Amino acid sequence: MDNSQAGRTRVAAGFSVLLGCVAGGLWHSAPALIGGYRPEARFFDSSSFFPRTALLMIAVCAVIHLIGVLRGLPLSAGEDLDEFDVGRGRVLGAMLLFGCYAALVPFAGYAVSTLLFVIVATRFAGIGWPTAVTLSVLMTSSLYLVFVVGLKVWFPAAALASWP
Amino acid sequence: MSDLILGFGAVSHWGVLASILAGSATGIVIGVLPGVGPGVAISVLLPLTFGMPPLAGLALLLGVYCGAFYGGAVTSILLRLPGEASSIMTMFDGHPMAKRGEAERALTLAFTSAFVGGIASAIFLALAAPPLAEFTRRFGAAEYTCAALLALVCVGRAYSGRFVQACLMLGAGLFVGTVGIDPTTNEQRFTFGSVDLGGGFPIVAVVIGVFGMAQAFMLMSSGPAKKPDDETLRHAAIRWQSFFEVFRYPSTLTKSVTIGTLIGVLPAVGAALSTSLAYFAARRASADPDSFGRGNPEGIVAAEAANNSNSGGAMLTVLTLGVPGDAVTAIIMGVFVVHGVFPGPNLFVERPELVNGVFASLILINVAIMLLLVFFTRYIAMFIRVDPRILGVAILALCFIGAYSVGNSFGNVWIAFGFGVFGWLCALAGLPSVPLVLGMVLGDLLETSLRQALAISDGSFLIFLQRPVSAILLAAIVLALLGPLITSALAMRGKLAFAQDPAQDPKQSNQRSR
Repeated sequence: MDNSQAGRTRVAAGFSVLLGCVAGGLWHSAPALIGGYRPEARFFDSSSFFPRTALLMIAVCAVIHLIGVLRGLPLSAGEDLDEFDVGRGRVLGAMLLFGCYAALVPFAGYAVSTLLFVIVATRFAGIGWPTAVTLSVLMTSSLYLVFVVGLKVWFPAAALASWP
Repeated sequence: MSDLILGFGAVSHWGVLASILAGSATGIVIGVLPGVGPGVAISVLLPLTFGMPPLAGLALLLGVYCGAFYGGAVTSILLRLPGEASSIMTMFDGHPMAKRGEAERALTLAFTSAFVGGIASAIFLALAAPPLAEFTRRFGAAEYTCAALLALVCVGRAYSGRFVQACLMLGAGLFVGTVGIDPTTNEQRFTFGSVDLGGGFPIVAVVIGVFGMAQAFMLMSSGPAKKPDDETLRHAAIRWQSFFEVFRYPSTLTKSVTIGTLIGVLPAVGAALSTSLAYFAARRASADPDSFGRGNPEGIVAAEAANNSNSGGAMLTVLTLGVPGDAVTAIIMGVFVVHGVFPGPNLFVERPELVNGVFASLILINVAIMLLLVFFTRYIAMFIRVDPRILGVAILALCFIGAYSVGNSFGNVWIAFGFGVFGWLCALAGLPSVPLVLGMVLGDLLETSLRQALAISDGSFLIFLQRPVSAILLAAIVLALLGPLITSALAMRGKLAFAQDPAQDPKQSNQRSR
């Protein structure tokens, strides 16, 4: 097993443990997490019946999956997502960029934030400045025209300026 | 027939016709683009339909759904790169044909077979849906519970070898669907006091995250794709002499369309299985099975006819029961719900123009796609050159505004982002994401009908056995769950019998006779 595969196995095992623990924790504290929970209700009348069944299913399957992962089960997302041979660090970087973009919009406004995000993200992806700037202007203007002007998607005014 | 005329009347509006054309063109391009499937495209395009009339929105997404099936053949045949999993079988014979200079013939065969499959499946849908809806109108809570359960079991079984992983994600979907106000008791479940979560996780935001964002993060972080040369793209065209060649294989065509349509009805099984079943059925029936995989045109006919005949079958359960067959039809179902229209048997009585409009749209979409391919295949093939990293950035920008526009809320962007990270982690951990969405969609129906059925029977599960249709569906669930176990037990027993008495083993008998 190479380093990348071993790393992926560790992530898969850790994620399975996390899923199992979260499901178990929610199953245990479900009555406290349901507002107005009636403990005297019959099982099928209870608001916790269905979510608890689902949580039990998650917890049990997470344990079985964990055992499979530790026994060397081949990990693949199947046909649901196209997997590229990409570094996890780069994906995390892309996620961080998107998080900054989402956080910036209320302050700098939609148009300015999108313009900045597309330039920075395109450069982060390793594409040259001319393409990054052109793509940014084209994407921002077309998204603004279609959604904000055409479909009347409303954005609050930017906290740092008066534009949307 | 009068129903179809009503449907064509409903679609004969410039807005719907423009949606059909735009959706079909987008779908073909999506099928050609590297790393972007119909699920990703439909999830990011879904918010565009909010401002449209329901039929126009549905026509747009159905166009993308069907167009992607056709587009996937271009890269499979020319570059040996299947755009979709369902185009793999097309590649086996299409690429060898392209290599020996018959790319145009292979593409024409693929498009015309897909066209026949698409039209046949739309007609099947128009003929089968009304009687099925009439039948399901008699369904009560018990029958709906069993139908939803059967759909969930089929989703799990569709992931052969990964049943546990699919069940884990189904459970996650069922749980995520319960967050918010309980529809029966009005109690707040797992909202942690958040007002935004009172209405639950919006399905559109979840879908944008799990499909759109998760894929976009990977696309953005990938390297540049290998670009095809001009010589390869020059062969991306239609060959008029081969336009009717598909009808030289009537038996393969009929068999493949039947397989594709029937497999399409089964939840989550998808087009990939139907293409391989149709391909191997054609190979078995062929006088020259060894030529399959070496550029036999019949292989393309079998794969593409089965591939595109899935759409009608997949829409059947959505329209008649409100049970989606796969992630794409689950998202399409979201368009109905967003417009306050709830799919199911009553839809045929309440909104016949909408249902018949869907049937007519499916027929027109296939015609529009065929026309686009006849005139623009060469230009559409140019999209193969688009850099996946640019696509990733563009999809992320679309995901932001798409998720925000669900309710003009930044909260939905963060929900989509959270599910994007979750979707990527799931992919890394070998967990499929389609069952998450299907669990979320089916969970609502399952919980409501299960609690209703149990309330009627005062908590007794015998209600599911006392009603004939629910009992039959329950038997089907047991069979679907235990089927693989029974098959492997029988196989084991057979092996044991051969071990005890080698004379019964057909392989050994054959060897002896030789």
